[in-house]
Amino acid sequence: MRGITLLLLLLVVVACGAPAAPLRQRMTLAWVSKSLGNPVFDHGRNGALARARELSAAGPYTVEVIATGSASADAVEQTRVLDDLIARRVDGIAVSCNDPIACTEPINRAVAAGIPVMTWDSDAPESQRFTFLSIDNYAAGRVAGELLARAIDGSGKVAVLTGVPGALNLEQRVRGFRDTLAAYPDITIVAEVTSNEDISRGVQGVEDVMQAHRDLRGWFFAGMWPLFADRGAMPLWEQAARTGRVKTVSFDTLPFQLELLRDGYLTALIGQHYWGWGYDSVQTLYDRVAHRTVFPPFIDTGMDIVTINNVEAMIRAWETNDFTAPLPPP
Amino acid sequence: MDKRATRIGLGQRQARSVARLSRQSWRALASRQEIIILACLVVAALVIGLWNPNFYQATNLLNLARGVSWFAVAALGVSMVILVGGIDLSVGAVMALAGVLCASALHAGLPVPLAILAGVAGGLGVGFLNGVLVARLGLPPFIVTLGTMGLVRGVTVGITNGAPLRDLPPHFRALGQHDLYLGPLSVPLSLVIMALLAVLVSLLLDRTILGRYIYTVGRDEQALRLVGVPAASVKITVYVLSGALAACSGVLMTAWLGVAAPTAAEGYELEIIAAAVIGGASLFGGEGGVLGVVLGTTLMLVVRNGFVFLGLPTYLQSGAIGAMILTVVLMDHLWRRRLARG
Amino acid sequence: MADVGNDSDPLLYVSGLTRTFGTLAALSRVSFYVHAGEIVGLVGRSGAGKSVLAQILGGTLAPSAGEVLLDGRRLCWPFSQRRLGVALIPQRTILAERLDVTANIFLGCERGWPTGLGWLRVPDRVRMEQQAAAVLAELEVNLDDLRTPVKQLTSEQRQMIALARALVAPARLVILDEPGALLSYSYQQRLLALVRSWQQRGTAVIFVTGSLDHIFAITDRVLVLNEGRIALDTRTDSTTREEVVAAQIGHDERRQLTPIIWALESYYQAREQAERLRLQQRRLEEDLAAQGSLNQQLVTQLARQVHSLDQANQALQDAQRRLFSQREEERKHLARELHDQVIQDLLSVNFQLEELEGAALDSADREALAAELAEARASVRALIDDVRRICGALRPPTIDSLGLGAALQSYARDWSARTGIAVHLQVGPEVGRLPEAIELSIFRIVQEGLANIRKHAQARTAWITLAAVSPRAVAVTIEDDGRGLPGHVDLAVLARQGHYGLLGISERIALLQGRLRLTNGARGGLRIDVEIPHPRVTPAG
Repeated sequence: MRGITLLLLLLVVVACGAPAAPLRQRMTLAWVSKSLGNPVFDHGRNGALARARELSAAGPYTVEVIATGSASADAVEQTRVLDDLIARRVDGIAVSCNDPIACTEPINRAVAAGIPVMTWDSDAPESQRFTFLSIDNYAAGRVAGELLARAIDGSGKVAVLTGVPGALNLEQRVRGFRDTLAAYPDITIVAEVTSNEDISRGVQGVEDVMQAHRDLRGWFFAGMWPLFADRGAMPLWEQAARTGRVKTVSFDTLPFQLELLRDGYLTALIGQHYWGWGYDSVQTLYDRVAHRTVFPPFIDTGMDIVTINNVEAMIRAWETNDFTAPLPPP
Repeated sequence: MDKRATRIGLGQRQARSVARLSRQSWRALASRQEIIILACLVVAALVIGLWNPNFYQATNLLNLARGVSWFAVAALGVSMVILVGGIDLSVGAVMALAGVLCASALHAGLPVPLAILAGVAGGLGVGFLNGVLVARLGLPPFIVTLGTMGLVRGVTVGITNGAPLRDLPPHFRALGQHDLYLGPLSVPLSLVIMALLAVLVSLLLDRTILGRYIYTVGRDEQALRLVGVPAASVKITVYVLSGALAACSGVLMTAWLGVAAPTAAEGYELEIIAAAVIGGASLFGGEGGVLGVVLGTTLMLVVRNGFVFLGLPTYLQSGAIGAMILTVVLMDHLWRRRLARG
Repeated sequence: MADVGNDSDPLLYVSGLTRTFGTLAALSRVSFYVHAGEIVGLVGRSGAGKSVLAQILGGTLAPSAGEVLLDGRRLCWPFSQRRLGVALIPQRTILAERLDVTANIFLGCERGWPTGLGWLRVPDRVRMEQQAAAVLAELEVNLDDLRTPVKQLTSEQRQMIALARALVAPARLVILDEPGALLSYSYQQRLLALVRSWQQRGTAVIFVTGSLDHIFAITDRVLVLNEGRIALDTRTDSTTREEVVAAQIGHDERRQLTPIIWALESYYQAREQAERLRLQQRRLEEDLAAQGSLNQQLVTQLARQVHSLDQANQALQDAQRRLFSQREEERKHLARELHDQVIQDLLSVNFQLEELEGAALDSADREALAAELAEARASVRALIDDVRRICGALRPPTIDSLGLGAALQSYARDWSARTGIAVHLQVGPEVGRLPEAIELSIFRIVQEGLANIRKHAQARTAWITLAAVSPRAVAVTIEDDGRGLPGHVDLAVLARQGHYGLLGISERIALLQGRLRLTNGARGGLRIDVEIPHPRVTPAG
């Protein structure tokens, strides 16, 4: 459906704009996400489109952004998407890799075809991408560990929920989390369950662990999958979280997560700059293509740390769709 | 003439009483795989329970039952397809489609029963498409359902623009989350629905003429053709039923989670097929029963649950389930060979 | 009966039916028609297209071209046989192996309730089992349990289940594709009776068979297929075995055909059987599980068949040798009879006449002369009687003039008087004049049967009946109240012991393509049942 509207939009642009500005150069940039299902990527896409509009208005290029991705978080499908973009001869690609290894080949193919490629959110470090724009996942993991350790007073059993085994960014978060907790001898990580980035798997995993370890004190969700499910799907976790028996630190700061935090289910959220994924990526690509700017191999987007102290500000930011103002301290 | 007739009648009556015994033992042999699965289930439950007594807590059993319920509903449909010698890879996609259709209908303000019907209708449609392509055009079921899997997934993503649908009405979520109190026992509503559907499928397979045809078409399609029974229609019916049951499963899953994601149930088709195979459905067609499917599903979920209880890394789960499938198929094969020899 | 429905429209009208497999034409432009109540025999060598035609008419195989009208309605393939009232009983019955006997008989036309629900009906097991039991009793199939899975049945029982299908749902057209191949003699007889009863009910029957006996026993019309074309389409009455076999083989080889015709027929039967076995074997190869044991079975079956063919060959050679020696024996006997009796008597008459001549020359004793002459005349008369008796033994004269019944009557009377054993002869009124060779053979069979009773049975009474079992077959039974058979009768053993009586009977029957059964009858003695086919004889002709 989105494709059709885009196409219609294009037609309108071609029909109206073509005679008016015949000499204006076009720049087509591709912004590829891990999957189409995830709302955080929608935010990134909106950021990308917004920056493209701003750049087009400023001239001299008409910047067009193709925001695409595989329907599901599938490495092979993503490879196909990238190859299609190479065939279309876009001017630049910003991609979030489902699999660092599987992504390397198509990125190198694109670079060989003269298309500059950058990665965002999830990297392919072995490839010839010119930069990687992301939250520092390891640092974010460390912060999550620190927040959880403080919330449970430095002792007790904790568990980790992660996504697909092998996703580099998730592994870095978990590594950061583990490295931090290693400094707390009274905290043990009793379980690490995978959700396969699937809601029902995540829910089942959380409930299984809650059942197996009745004395669990803390959770670290490296992604928000189980929280997608509505209230009532995770009765054990919900009960423990509401009474404060279990403290949970989760990645991402989507509205429903903020609500859960406000309602006392969650202790802290670590937010990425979803908007920036698109906004900053398009800017970076534009600079690279238009001005041949050289970037360092890693661009840190920074992170949002949301606790009960600043949750209202974050909720407001979502309501107004304005993420430019800095958050109050957690 | 009369005299002869009564003589035959008497002989038959005697023979039948003798044969009843042998038929029972034959039946017992046929259901042997179910007994094996039950034994595995008991052993698994004992081992996990010994390691971590929390396994036996009512909350966990409820949790397990809820997981089994919607999973088994989809497995029932797939086991019927396997029974007619086919395969249905589109179940996962159909589950997601049904969930999304149902959620969209609820968002559009339709009452819950109509919304559920909308979801199930989607499943029926996909099943009918599968059936016609397989049975009427004679295309290989693996390819056909692989194709519809991609098609349906694409349509589902298209309907939702990729975003999960949340904020479903509570009395719809009750379908997947509430428990019924039968005396002192609390039973998940979804498990009751599953049991109801299982009984219906079991009645269909064992008590109707269609059931006879379904059991026959997998192994002896020629025999049906010879007497002019339209084997293609039997197959189409089965694919439609599989689609409808997958849709029911998707609706139950959605009600339980309270969210309909277009990416939901991705890759479940293989686990559902595995559950049916573990439960005794032979991929060569003509074999399998409802009880086996339910037991197979339960065993799979108990093993998955057990991994967490035993503290084993979860990425070993798929390995363990693969090993279970191989073991069951191997045992099935060996037993059959022994039967053939004896 | 033969004219039933000929003036009405045909039930089945086949025109220009063609079926090709790749470039191979299994059937090309086959046209024929079948009336209600007509039995049409379909013969041909293996590969002539019989089974293809049967499958097309049964709705399981679509033709490449041509059309078929059933009751004026054009058929479209594949069609539901049971809805159109067509029953195909195939060469190899394919049953639903997992289902029991009853379910297989009713497959495709289950009885169930509530009506109107179609496939969602619940099968009415009790009613179906009752009906199945009744039908199987009618077919005299004895099954221990109707709930036995059919995979445990013998191939003969499976074939009878396929037959039973045609009985539980009345059919207008029954197609039997070599149904006799797997059936024993008694079931084959039951099958023929069944076909006749269908005919009487007005059902049309297409009877594909390799057995000319069956063709000439029951069919009204015979169709011969040769390489996918109709080589002969004629009334059974107006054709002969030779013509049918010649049409099967084709016209080129016709000249050399007649002398070796029977050998050829059995050769083709053997080849067909080999073909069938090969087919079976191929199917079995697919069925890996059963392969080992069943292959073994097939090999032994083949070996047994080769062995029995050898034996049959040996027996034929023996029979020929024996026939030669018997003829020599008879010649010797005849010579001795002529020498010992007729010639001696003629010599003595000659003496008398010589004496008479001398007496006539020198004596005037007229009275003595007259007496001598009278004596000579008496001798001559006795001589004539002797010669007549010898002739009678060689060839019963009454057969030619009065027919088989009268000849048997007179022979039985003589034999009874000679041996003192009472004979009850019963000749059915429907037995008319038969071809000469058959009448003579029956007479000889009775003769040898009675001789056998006199020699071995120690009986006091013998019963002989002669009856027509169909317009094309006659049955003879010879029974006595004597000792009966000691146990199992083995003709080979009898032959070795020099008892040629029964052996002679069996050989005569074999030459006429008839059947022989030896049992101990209800009256205690031996019972010989003989059935001899013959071309249809117009009654009262």
